Amino acid sequence: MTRRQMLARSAAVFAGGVLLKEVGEAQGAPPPPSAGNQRPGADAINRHLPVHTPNVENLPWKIVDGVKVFHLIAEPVRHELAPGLRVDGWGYNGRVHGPTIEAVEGDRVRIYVTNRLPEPTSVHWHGILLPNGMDGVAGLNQRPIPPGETYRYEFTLRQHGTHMYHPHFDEMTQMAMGMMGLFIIHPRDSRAYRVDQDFALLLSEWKIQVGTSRPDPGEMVDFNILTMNGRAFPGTEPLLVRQGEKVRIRLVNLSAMSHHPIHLHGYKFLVTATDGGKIPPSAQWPETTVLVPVGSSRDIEFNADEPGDWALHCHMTHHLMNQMGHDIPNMIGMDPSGLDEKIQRFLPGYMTMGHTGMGGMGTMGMPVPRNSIPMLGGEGPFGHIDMAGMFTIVKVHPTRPAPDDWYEHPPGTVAEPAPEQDLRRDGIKTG
Amino acid sequence: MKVIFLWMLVPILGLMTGCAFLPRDAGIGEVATLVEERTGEPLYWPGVSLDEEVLALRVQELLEQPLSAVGATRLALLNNPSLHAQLEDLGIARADLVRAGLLRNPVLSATVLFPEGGGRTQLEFSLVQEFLHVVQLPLKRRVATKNFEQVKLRTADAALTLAAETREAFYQAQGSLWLREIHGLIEEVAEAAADVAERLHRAGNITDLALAREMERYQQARLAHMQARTRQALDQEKLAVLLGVTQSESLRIAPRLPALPPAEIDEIDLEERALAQRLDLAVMRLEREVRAEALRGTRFSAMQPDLGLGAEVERESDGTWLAGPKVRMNLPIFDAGGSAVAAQQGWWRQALRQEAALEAQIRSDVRQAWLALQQARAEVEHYRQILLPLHDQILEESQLHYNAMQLGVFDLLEAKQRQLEIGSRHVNARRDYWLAHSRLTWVVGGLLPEPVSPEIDEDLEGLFGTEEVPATEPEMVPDSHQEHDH
Repeated sequence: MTRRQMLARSAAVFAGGVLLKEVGEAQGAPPPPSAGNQRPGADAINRHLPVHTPNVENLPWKIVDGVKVFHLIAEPVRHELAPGLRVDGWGYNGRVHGPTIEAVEGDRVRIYVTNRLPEPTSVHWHGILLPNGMDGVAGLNQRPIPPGETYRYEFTLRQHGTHMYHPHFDEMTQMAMGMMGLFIIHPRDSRAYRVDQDFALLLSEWKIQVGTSRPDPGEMVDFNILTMNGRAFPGTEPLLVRQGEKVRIRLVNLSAMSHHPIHLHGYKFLVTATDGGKIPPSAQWPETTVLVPVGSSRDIEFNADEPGDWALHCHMTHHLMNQMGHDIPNMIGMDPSGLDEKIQRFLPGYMTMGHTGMGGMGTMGMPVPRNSIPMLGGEGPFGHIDMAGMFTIVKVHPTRPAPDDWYEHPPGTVAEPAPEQDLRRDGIKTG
Repeated sequence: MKVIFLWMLVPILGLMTGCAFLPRDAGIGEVATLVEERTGEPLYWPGVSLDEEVLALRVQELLEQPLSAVGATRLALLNNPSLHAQLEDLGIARADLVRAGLLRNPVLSATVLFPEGGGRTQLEFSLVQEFLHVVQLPLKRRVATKNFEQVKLRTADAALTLAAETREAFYQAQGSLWLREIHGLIEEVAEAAADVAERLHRAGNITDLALAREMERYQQARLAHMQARTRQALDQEKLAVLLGVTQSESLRIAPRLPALPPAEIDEIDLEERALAQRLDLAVMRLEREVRAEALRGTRFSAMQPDLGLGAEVERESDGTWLAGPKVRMNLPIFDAGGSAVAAQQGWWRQALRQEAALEAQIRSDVRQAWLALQQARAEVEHYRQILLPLHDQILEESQLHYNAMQLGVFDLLEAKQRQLEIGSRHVNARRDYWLAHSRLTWVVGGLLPEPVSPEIDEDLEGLFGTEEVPATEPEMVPDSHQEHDH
């Protein structure tokens, strides 16, 4: 053992001691070693508001000698990206993406990583300040974890913020296959930066050719499934808020190639943090759309004072499609008269599509290749929502809504066909 | 003198009666039997074994239905004018045979001599019968009989060849009719693609280049359709000649090549069957026998080709009559007949070798034709069981991908076009099967040992969208004679 390693060890023991003391104070009694899906709720381990990652679970942990112990298992996973589309991806602990790791500033964490993949892997703790040998870049900081082996990562959390984990061995493939997760570190002082709802959304993109079930890691440009927490609308779970709550949404982008301008309807918000840490209040910038670059996180916060069902989505329109095909002729504006009858003589299933636009394609119910969702939007209270992909809904209701509740609009507050007398009164000529 | 004449007449009269063995119908009955055994179809000699008007009615009847291969064969045997011309060989051969049974007429020679200075004329009469001819008459008759047999066999073989050519021309015509239909559909698909391209071009959505490319594809398809139409017309023309139909456009052909017989034809005994059935081989065997017969009489006839016996009567100038027998013979000083014998031996051996060569050729032809038939069957089955279903699936999936907007309309139309192209290749394979089948039938020299083949298989009709398939006659019913006229 070198002198440096000895020093590092003693530092770890020291840090662990501090953590143990803190945890002991916070939790009163240690949790059973085989704790299930625990969240460090305000009334349990500490008083921090747990982060809610829609569609994703939090990684269970246990305290062993004052160290918070996690176990990540990298393995092939069959995963539903949205109803009608299942993929054979890679993930952690049976999930795509991996479960959210939640901890507190100052925690000593020990994370075992078991590799059940057909190739080596490693885990990089993105944005987390830690010893170089724990940083997870295979070849640079450690040997890759061979299939079948378990490596141990251990470090003390010296910061708080919105971070992530992902492989750094063959990352192009492994991230394209779905391997990534969130690593949320709460501030030591649970009273600081309080919000009432703390959401986290991990953005990513996929190439899954229509009719296949295997993500294509070779894709560089033409991604056709855009997800929040590994789900594409209408598979995304809405963000449920009671009117008047202060809301934080942590946006994290681990897409292969795309930055995402995430737009929230109904509010302006402040960007309060990046993966580098909190932004001083004086520097926080009001926005309605925040660009989340690849490999970055942005926390936004707002007061949910305006009730309604508000869209939250990437503003790149092609990121609001599921499995859109891009290699078909542009049909818009074509005169289709007589064409269907002509072609149906030898192709009975033919119908001209796209000549008037593509709205409502999801409602036609035409047979499509198996395991594909090329036309799917979702159903809303006013009919079909023609968006898909990186889209979800923030439901702000006077009382805390259930996932399938729709906002009930006060009379006269919904856009409706213009009455004839109004048109006349205001001198609007429509003919 | 009277005695001599009577003595000479006896053998002549005896031989004259030989005409009784000649067939009254000049052998058409035997020929028709040979043909019917080998094709399942009757053969008539117009004006001899069937009334011309009845024949015309039967032809008319056959032409009213869309033709199958069986109907075409029947029609050709009834109506082909070249075959009719060949049938006349039977009459000619019969006459030849009659002539071979007759003695050569005796030769009478008379000489009148006028004495110098007047006086009674001197008269000489002689009557000579060629003796060799008399001696060899039974031999000649045997040869002539064999020759007549050969003519019958050749005539029947000509009918079989006509049947084979007709079947072949029929399958070609039937195949090209089907192909014309498919190429018509391909053109229709390509026209739809060109139409879409024009509409998109008008809407400002595609380039001049893209439009030109679609147009080029359409024009290629038009050309192919045009070629298929001409090919079909030519094939129909060739068939019409064999059927003896002068208005080729009036021919109606069942539009689908029949499905394959369910069972393969067994290779065992096919060669023996061919050796037993082939009429050209039978002709060759007879030829060898004729040569053997000829060889028997050669030595004597070569030495004494002009041997004649007769009587001579002479009146001298003094008025006295002299009479006596006369002999005419060659003196074998220069030609003892050895070379003629050698030549006859050569011909006989040649016939023997030719027969062996033909046997070997027939055996090989049977094996080749059988192999070709197996290969053709394998190809058809490959299309029917593998490639056509795959293309159906490709088209179906293409439609799904079109619905999902993953494929454009041009891709979808192209998938349809490729399916039709595979369909046309399948038709080629099926036509090749029936050509191989016909070829094997021909080289085996008669009907093949196989069960009744089924009707057209329905699963292929999907290729042709809304096109109706007219009903067809039953196809190739080798072992069922009940519908034939006897």
